[in-house]
Amino acid sequence: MSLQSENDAQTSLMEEIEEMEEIVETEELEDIEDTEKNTKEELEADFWRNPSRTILQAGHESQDFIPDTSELLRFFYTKLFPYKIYAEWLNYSKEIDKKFINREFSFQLSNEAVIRHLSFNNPDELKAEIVKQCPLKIDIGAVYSAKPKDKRSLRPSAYKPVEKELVFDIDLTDYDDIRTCYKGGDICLKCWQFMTVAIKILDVALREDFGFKHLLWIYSGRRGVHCWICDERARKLNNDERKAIVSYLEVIKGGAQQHKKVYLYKNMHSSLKRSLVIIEDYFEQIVLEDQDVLKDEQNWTKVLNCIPDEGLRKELNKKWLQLPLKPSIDKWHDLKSEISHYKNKKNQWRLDSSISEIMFQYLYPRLDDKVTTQINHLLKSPFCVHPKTERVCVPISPDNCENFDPLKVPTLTTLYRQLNETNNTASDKSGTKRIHHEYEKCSLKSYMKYFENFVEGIMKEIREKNREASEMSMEF
Amino acid sequence: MIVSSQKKQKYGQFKKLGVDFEYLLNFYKFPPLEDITIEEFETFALDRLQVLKAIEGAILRNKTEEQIRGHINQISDEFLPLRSNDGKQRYDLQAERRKDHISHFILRLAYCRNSQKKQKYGQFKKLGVDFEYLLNFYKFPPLEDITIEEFETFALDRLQVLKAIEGAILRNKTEEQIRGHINQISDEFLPLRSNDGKQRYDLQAERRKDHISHFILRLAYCRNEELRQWFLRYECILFKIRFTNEKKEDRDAFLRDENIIWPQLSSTEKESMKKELNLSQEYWKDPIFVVEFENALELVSRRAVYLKDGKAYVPAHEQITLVLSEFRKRLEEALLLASKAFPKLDDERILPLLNNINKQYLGKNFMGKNVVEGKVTADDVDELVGHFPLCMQNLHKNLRTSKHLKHYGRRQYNLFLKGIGLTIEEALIFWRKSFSMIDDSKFQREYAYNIRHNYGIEGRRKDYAPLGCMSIITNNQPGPSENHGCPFRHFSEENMKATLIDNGIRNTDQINNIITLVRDKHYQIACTKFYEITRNLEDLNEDKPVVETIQHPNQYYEASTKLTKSKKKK
Ligand code: SF4
Ligand SMILES: [Zn+2]
Repeated sequence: MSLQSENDAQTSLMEEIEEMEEIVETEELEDIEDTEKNTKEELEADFWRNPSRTILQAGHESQDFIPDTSELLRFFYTKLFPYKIYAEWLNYSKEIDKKFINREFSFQLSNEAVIRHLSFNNPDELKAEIVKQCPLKIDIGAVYSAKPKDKRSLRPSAYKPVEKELVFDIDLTDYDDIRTCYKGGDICLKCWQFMTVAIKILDVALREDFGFKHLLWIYSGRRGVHCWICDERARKLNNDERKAIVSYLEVIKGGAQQHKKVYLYKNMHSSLKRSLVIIEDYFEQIVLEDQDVLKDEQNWTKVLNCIPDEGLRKELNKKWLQLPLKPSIDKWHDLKSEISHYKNKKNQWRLDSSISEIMFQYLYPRLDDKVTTQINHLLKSPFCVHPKTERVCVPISPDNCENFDPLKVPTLTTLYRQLNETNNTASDKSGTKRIHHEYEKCSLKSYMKYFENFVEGIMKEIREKNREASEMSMEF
Repeated sequence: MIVSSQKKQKYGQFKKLGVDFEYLLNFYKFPPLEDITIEEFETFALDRLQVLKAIEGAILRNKTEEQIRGHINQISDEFLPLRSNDGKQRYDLQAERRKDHISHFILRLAYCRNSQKKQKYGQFKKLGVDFEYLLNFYKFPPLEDITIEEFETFALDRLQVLKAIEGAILRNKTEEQIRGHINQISDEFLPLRSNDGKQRYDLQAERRKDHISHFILRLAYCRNEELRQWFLRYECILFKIRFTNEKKEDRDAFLRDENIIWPQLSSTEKESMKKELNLSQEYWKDPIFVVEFENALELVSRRAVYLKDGKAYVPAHEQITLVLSEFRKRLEEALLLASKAFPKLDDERILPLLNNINKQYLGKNFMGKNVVEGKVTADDVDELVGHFPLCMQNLHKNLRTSKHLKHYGRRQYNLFLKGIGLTIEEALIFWRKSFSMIDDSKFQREYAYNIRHNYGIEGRRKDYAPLGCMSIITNNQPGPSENHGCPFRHFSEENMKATLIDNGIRNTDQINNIITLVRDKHYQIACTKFYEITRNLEDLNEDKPVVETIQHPNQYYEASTKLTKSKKKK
C-alpha cells in the first residue's frame, strides 16, 4: 500500500467532511423554510395581493380617510413599534453587544420574498431598515457566533447558533379535530379558551418544574399564542435539551388517523396531576358547554373512540341515539357512570383512566415541536402586525389570560384613528401631561407597559447577578 | 501530505516563508512536526531540565522574583538560549526556538507519563493490578506497548461486538434480549468478567484488551460526525449492558473511584416531598440524587423523574441514566478532541490500520477493479436491475422513461455501474443508447466528458469510488426534478409505501416496519429490511442478523447476485 494513496484517502475524507458540514447546514435551513410555507401563511400573504381587502373596509363607515395597508404599516413602524425596549430585550443589556449584533432577523416583504440572515449593528440600523422595508412579518432567529449577514462569506464551522430563547408555538389549527364552533380560518371567544388553558398549564409547568422565570406570552395575531422564555438558562439550551423539555411537556401524540391520542400511566406524574387539576376546572365549561362535543353522533363518536372497550362504546352510543338532544354534560355523566359500573375487572384500570385521557385529549396544550426543538428555528416577532387580521402581536399576561380577548386586540386601523383623534384633541389643551412615546396615546399603551415591565424584570435580575459577580471578585 | 496540510492551516499566517517561530514566546499549542535525531532528543530534554531544575532550586532558596529572573536568565543563556526578534540572525533565532519547542514537548511527554501513572493509578491498592473494575470510563489512553497484531485484532474484535448491537437493535429486540445476545457475543470476542477474587491475571488481560480496543476504535471513528455518532451510540449501549451486568458493590465502588457522585436528598427532605416524588414502596428506602435537569435528559423526556425548579430528583434505580449521560458526555468530548488531533497522527504504521478499521464500517470502496465474474456489458444492465437497491432502480426507471438524468443522478448511477463491472467503453455505450433523444455531437460535448471523468480518464484523473449510502443520503439533496438520492430518505411517505407495494410487499406489518424505520431516520436499516423481505430472508435466523446492514449500494448488489447464485446451486 503506497503512502500516496493513503494520503489521498485522507484528503478526500477531509473534503467530504467539509462538504457534509455544508450540506447539513443548508438542509436545516431548508427545513425551516418548508415549515414556514404552510398553507395558512400562504393564504395570508395572498391577502396582500388582493386589492379589495374586504375585511378592513367592513365595519367602518368609511367617512374618515383610512390609508391603505402599506401606509398603515409604515405608520405603525414609524410611530408605534417599541424599538428601544425591543432592542434592550434582545440584547439583554442596555449596551448593545453581540447578542443583538449577531441575532438573525428575517423580513417577509411579500408573498414570495422573504429575506433571511439579516442582522443589524445597532437598534437604529434595525429601525431604519424596518421603516424602509415595511415588512409584512418580522421573524426572530438565534444569536450566532458571527453576524448572520456575513453568513455567505463564513466557513460553516464559524457560523453556528449560540443561543436563543426557548420558544413555544400553539395554534388553534391543531385543535380543529375537536373544536365544533366555526372552523377554518377564524376563531371566536369560545374556542380561544383552548389557548387560555394551554397558557395556564404550560406557564406553571415551565415555572415550577424547570424553574424558568421570564416567560413572555404573545398573541400570534390570529389563532394562536407564542411563548418566549428568556431566562439565561433557557437561552443556552442545546437542541437535545430542548427536545427533552418538549417531550416532557407533550401528552397528545399521534396524527389525524389516530383517534385516541393520550395514554396515561398508572402512576401519574406529578406534573400531569397538576395539569389535570387545571383541566378539571375548565372541562365542563369549555368542552361540554361551549364546544358541546357530545352534541351529535359524529362528535360523540370521537369521544367514544377513546374508550378502550367496544361493548361500552356500543352501549353508550345506543343510549345517546335514543336521546340525542340530551345536553353534553348529562351525556358525560352517563359516560362516567357507565365506566364506573362496568364489570370488566381485567381492564378496569384502563377504563377508569380513559376518563382522564379524554379530558387531556380535549384540553391539554398541543405543541408544534419543531419550533421549540431547533435552536435556529425562526418565530414571528412580538409586536408584528398580522397581515390578515391587522392585529398587533401583543403580550398576554398569564395570570390574567382568561380575560384576554383576541378580538379586542387593537388593529392598525383603530390605532391609526386613535392616534389621529388624540392628536387633534391634544393640540387644543397642550402641555397637560408629558407624553414619552406615541403609543401612550392609544390602546397599545397597556401592552407596552406590560412589555416594559417584563424587560425591566430581566434587566433587574441581570444587574443583580453582575453585582454579585463583581462583589465576589472584590473579595479576592 | 498530512503535515503540510496542517502547516498550511496552522502556520499559514506566518508572513515569511521558512520562518516558523515568529516570537520568542510560545504557548506550545502544537507538537513539533519536524524530524528530531536521537541525540537532539536527549540533549534538548536534558538542557531544558537543567533550566527547570534551576528554577526549582532558586525558589527553594527563597529568592526574590528579581533574583530568580536574573539567575535563570544566566542559566538559560547557557542551556536554552532564547532571544527576542532583532531583525538579524534569523537562522539562529529559529534554531533556538525550535529547541525550546521540542524540548518542551519531550518533557511534557516524559512528565505526563510518570505523574499520570503515579496520580491516576495511585489509588489502586494491589500492586500490579491496573484495572480494578470491569467498568471503565476510558479516561486515560493506554500507556503500554501494543504489537501491531494486537492493534488490529483487538480493534476488529470490539467492532464485532458493536456491530452485533447494531444488528440486534435492527431486529427490534427487547432490551433483555439484546443484553443476552451481546453477552454471548462478548464472551466470544471481547470477554470481560467481574472481580471474583480469582484469576487475577486473566481479568487484567481482558480489561487491557477492552481498554486498548476502545482507544483504537475511538481514533478510527473520530473522523467525521457520522462515524462519531455511530461509535458513540453503540459504545453507550455496550457500557449500559456492562453496567447492568456488574455487581452493585463493584458498580458503586467504580463510581466512587471515578468521583462520580451526586448530592442526595436528606431523609427529612425526602419525607416532605413524598407526594411529588411519587415513588413506589420498593424504591422508597433507596437514595434520591439531585441533579440539574440537563443531566437527566433521558428521564426528563420520559417524564420519569420529578422536576422542581430546574432540578431533577432521580431515584437510585434510575441511576444508570445519570451514569450513561456522564459516559456519553465524556466520550463525545473525547471524540471531538481526537478528531482535532487526528491530522497530527502521523504514524505510517498506524494510519493505514485505522483507515482499514473504519472501512469495516464504511464498507469496501467497490472500485470495480476486483470484479472477478467477467465484465458486465451495457446490454446486461436491464436484466440486472432486479439486483439493484431502490436508489439505483429509481434512477434506472427514470432514465428509461425520460431518456435523461440530471447531473447528480448521472454521477450516482454511473459510479454504481462502474462498481458492478461496467468498463468505460461499456459505460459510454450504455449512456449513449440511453440518452436516445440527444444527438451525437451534443452527447459527446456535454456528457461523454463527465462519464469518462467518473472513470478517472479526464480532469484530475482521480478514479472516483462509487458513492456509499451515507454520502448518497447526506450529500446533495435532490431538487424537485432530480432523481438521485436514497428513496428511503428522499421519498415522501406515500411514495415510499407505493414503492414497497410495487415491489410486492403486501403485508401491512412489514410495510409499517419499514415506514417506522424511515421515520426514525434509520434509512439504511430500512433498506436492509427491504432487502430481507423481498428475498424472503426475514427471521430465518432469530439471533444473528441475516444480512449485514447495507452501507453501500454495491454491497447490496453483490449480496443480491451472490444469493441468486447460491440458490441456483442448490
Ligand atoms: S440505503 Fe443505500 S443502497 Fe439502500 S436505497 Fe438508500 S442509498 Fe441505496
Ligand atoms: Zn370558535
